[in-house]
Amino acid sequence: MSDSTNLSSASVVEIQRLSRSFGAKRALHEVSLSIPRGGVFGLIGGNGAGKTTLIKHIMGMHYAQSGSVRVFGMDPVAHPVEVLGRIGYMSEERDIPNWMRVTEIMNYTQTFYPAWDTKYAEELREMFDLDPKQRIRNLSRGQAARVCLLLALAHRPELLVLDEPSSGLDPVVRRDILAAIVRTIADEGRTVIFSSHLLDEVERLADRVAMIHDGQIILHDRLDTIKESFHRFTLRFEQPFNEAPLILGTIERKGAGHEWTYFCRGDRDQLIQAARTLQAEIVQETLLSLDDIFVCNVTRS
Amino acid sequence: MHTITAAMAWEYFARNRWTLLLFPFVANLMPIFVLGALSGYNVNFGSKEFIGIYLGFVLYTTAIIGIGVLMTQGSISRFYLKPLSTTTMVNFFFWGGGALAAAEIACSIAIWNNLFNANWPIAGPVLFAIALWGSFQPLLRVPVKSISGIITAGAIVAGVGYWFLSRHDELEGHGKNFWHNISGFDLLFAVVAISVGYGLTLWRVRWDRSGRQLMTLTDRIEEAFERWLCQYFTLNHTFSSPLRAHRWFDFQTRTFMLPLVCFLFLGAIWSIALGMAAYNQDHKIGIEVIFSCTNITAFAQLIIAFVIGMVMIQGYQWNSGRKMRGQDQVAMKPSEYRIGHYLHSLPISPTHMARAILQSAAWSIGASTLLMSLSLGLLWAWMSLTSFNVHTLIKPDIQFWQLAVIGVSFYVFLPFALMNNIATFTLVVNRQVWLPPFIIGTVILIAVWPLFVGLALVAAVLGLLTYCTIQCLKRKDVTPLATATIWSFGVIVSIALALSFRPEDWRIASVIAASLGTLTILPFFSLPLALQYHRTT
Amino acid sequence: MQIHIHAQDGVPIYLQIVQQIKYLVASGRLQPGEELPSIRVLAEQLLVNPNTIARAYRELETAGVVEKRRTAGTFIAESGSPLARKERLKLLNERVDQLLVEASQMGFELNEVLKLIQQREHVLRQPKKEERNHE
Repeated sequence: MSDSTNLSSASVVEIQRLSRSFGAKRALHEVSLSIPRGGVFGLIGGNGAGKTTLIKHIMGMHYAQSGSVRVFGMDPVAHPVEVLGRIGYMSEERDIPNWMRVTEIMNYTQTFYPAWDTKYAEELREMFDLDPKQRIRNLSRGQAARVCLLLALAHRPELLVLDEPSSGLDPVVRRDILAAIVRTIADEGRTVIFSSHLLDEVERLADRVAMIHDGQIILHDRLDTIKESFHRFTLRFEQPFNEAPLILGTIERKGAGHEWTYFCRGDRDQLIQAARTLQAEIVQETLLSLDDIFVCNVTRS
Repeated sequence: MHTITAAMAWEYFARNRWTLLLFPFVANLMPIFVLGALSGYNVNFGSKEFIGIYLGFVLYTTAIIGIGVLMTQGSISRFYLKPLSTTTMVNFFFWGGGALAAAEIACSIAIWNNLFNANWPIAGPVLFAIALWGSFQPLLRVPVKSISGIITAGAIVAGVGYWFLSRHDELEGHGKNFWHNISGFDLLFAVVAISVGYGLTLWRVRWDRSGRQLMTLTDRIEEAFERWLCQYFTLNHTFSSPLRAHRWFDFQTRTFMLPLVCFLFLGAIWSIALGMAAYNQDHKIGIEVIFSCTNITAFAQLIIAFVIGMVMIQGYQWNSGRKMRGQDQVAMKPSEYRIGHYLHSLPISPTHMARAILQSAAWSIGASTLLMSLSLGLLWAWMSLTSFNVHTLIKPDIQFWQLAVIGVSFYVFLPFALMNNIATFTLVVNRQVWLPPFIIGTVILIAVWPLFVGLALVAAVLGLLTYCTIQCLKRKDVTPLATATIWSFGVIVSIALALSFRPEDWRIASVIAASLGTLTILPFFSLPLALQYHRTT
Repeated sequence: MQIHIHAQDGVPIYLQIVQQIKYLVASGRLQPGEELPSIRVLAEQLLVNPNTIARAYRELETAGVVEKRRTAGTFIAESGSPLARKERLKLLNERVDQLLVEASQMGFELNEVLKLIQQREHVLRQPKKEERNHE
């Protein structure tokens, strides 16, 4: 046991060259990922890019066809009790037994988690305004999502895994979910992994971001670093071009005649230097949101 | 209109490719197995002696095939948002499903007739099946609240079942006959049942589609009941171990059905019997009705056990086979049992989950066995009070212990095997693509040598059991001591069952006993593996 | 304290917080000595990663806008006002630069721009007077 805790202090999740296909369909291809302890890890990607498949591997719901998955230094498939006991999980489907009452599902779920904090669970229940006597099938979609969130949080998990937590929910419930993420990492050493296609949520909360496309990780770094390494310049050239000249690190260029907009990756000063050598004037420089970066990276590949 | 129906039919067959074969296969497996075993003795199945077996098989096959069609059809509400008239979709579900079920049942009986020279009537059971299908539709197409649903279902089963059984003179206890002649009354009964069912289905689906809800009297009763439940039957404590929690959960969601159905059936039978006895001023009729209907309850238990097993594979797995996408989004909340993500994120090992499931199955079978014993005990008391001669019901050459062993096997071990093995067999089907040719091969072989199906089954189960036992020992799911105990238990059950048959029937007896014995102990070893497989795909 | 985060802007969130707090100090809506909310509280209020808030506070501290007191928390620095003027100037400079660039691109002389500024100022004053009269 002490061995595994030592291992896990470095990173909570360690994935190495993980590949998975369902029949002929390739869902993940050679994914390697290391998620450090503490902070928020945002997993972004389009629909069907492989986000959920990756998360299911972390939860031990898929075995690794090739490659390896370690959570807290253990194989989640071989050690479900040890691993899952330290994870709070909310699935995209939010499929909880809907014949139970709110208090029943709290009591039932509590049994599985020795670390369950009854007082905290009760606090959350009151904060979310959940009637303990209601059956889950009679709750609104938002309230049901709050129940799922409560169940994922009440044992103060070391790792909180949220798969598309806010899809299909109103802004009030989304706020609750985001606030829960903030509260979770405000405690030292706790980690949150969440996938989303609402990129402004990721931009607000994530320390690190992995962008997954077509089963492959196409970008993985600290959010700050990612934001600093993508730039968009509008250059004005002295003579018109049919096809604008390439600058080092160009991912995409658009425009016509004298004015061309470049979407580049790299060091800002170097890019400016490169533009000068082409005798172009920088007419405009815009900062990029994660959304812009995502769209450009995905449409290019 | 024509093309819409064609498209719906194509979607239905394309989505359910193998499942459509699975249900008729399961529905025919037991009858062919038993008939094949019996036919080695040059018996005439057309004789009145076999009417009990015939009725049991018809009811069993009808139920399995009906459930199969219902399950493969899925919810009608997914068509609500399509530009389709309500009549078109109800027609497709009602007539299309009914025709398919009727055809499958007719084919099944025709197959038995052909294989075993049984010469059993086909038209009667088909008429019965259509009437039953039609009258159940209003209940099944639009979900009903539990209590009103159970009451209405009970009434339908009682009504249509009484009609079916009385056609065979089953309820009078003497002069039983096969239902060869269909009278004008039978046709009228079926037509009325179907038209009323169709009208009500159309009306209910129309209401449901427009989002209106009925507040019937039973719903009001239900509401009051719900308040009462809430006050006294809410889980207010936590469990001391995950195993106990999951056992509670499994009992509440699935296995609870078995004692409930048993209770309802026995209640209905006793009230009918007491009513008939009082009306005719004759104890004998009441006793005979109870005695013959107890077997029907046992058959009903088998069907319910099968349903419970099916519910498990629906609930504990989520991504095998062709699922209807967007089912959750369109006017439907996720079903009661499809909660795979939640269940599999709970930190409980497959070993403990399997134990919890087996214990909950044991609870439910224990409860229904208690009810059955109570019923039989009361019957015995009634018989001794009225000094009724038991031997008019049971042949004198059968010993009490033989009856007990057969009863226990039939009431206790067979439901247990049905409940817990279906998940295992879907595991085999999902992993092994060679199963369909194997099944076809078996079917061809039994036409030549009927006992073969039994032997093939025993061999297959024994192989699976050995494999699972070795795996479980390797994974340390089961201790060696427990393994030895369970295996010896299986062997003892098999031997006891084999001995309780007539000595000259030793061949069938050993096949039946061996298959029941192995199937009973198989879940102890296969369920942890099946759950592991369903959790980690 | 009113801070609005626009994640779609492209401007890093910590920078948005820094700029808005500077603006609040410059416009006098945050007074010297006033206490800023704790990192955790502000993070929950804005729904932003606590590390981001911490970074913004660090940045403000190095700029001398806020000061950390060992046990109590983060406060607006007492020497806030000279910096506030500098900030205000900086903000205005940016706007003026932009105006001048656009004016020269459209071919206006500096004199014309100055005249225009005076004219606009006159026009802007008139309705304000009217409004007061209405009240």
